Amino acid sequence: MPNANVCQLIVDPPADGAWNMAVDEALLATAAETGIPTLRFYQWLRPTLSLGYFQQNADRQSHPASLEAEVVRRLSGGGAILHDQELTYSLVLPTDHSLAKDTQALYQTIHKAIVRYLADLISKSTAPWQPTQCVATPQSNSRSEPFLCFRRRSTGDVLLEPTEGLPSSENHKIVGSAQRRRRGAILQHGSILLTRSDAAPELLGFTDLTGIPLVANSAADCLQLAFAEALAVKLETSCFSDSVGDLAKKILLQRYGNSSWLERR
Amino acid sequence: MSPEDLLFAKTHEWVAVAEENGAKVATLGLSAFAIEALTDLVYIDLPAVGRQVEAEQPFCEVESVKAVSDIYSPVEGEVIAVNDALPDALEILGSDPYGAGWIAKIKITDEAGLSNLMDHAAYQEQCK
Repeated sequence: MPNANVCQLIVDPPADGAWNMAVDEALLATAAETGIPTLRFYQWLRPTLSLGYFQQNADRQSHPASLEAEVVRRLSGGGAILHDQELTYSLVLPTDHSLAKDTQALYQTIHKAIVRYLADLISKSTAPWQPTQCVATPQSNSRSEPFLCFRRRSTGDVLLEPTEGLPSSENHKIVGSAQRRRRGAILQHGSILLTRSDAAPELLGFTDLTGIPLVANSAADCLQLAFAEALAVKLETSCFSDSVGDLAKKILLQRYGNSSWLERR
Repeated sequence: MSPEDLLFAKTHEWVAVAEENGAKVATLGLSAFAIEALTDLVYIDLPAVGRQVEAEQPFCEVESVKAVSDIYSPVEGEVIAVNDALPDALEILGSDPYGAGWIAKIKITDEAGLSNLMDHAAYQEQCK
């Protein structure tokens, strides 16, 4: 029986989008069977557009700046994300974890931890911005939603809001997350925008807005502590097991490395 | 249909079994508890009619704002009908989960999966 208070921590080097998504799915499938929670941080070898599970591949034509980028379909919902100058996290919780049963509570818990971390960074500067969480009216139909996740607003999203000079409506979404449930276990992965990407130039990152330098590795070091505190778990640094690696390779062939997965919609 | 007359899977699907043209047919949906937990539904991906499904395997998917969830078939069989009204009117799932919110009908080829289902009282205990 795994110790529910222990969470394995994986910090992966940059990899291509298909592999990153295959590993996240393998960790989800493994958590559903073994009860092992995992927190993972990773980056992307090249600018990559990830489509939400239900998005149409053809809709990427509506975003010309990212047409040259690689593309992968996620297992999770929500809008498309351009992964470039960012830090990506994934958190997998097994069925018996209390937050696995409440997707909104998990979303809020993780995003609150990110808000605290960003607020701490900003408090040591004179940047006229404050991180906050979005309170949005639920959408009844996401077909009318913007293509990019960072152009959408959902309850719990992390925003940077100006503290002076600009109306609070001039906010910028800085973190977007999405989820997938499987047999009671849950995967939540999300992106923290650090700086603007040429493949999505309309989206400004944390450093662009605040002027505070933030690099992915140091953000990962700090956020792992913030997440552990928020989840009340002890992190144990690890790398994924051979069985997870083998499963990820299988998933890569079946799904993310296969054009039929991308073109299924 | 009244939930007291239905069977429930631990993965929150409800099942009503009836005889149709000499075959046992399971009508499936999602419980009111599951619909409420999923919150604002935005997409459903219905299975194709004619698809063979296995017991306790996913056969349908639903998205609620950002979370995609699998829906599992409690029985083995063939999908013979789906509720085509749902994709454009997902609110039906919440307003009438045990009636107009049905998802699919499956002609049962193996009844073994039925023995794993709970009655409404047992399901309510699970949801506490």
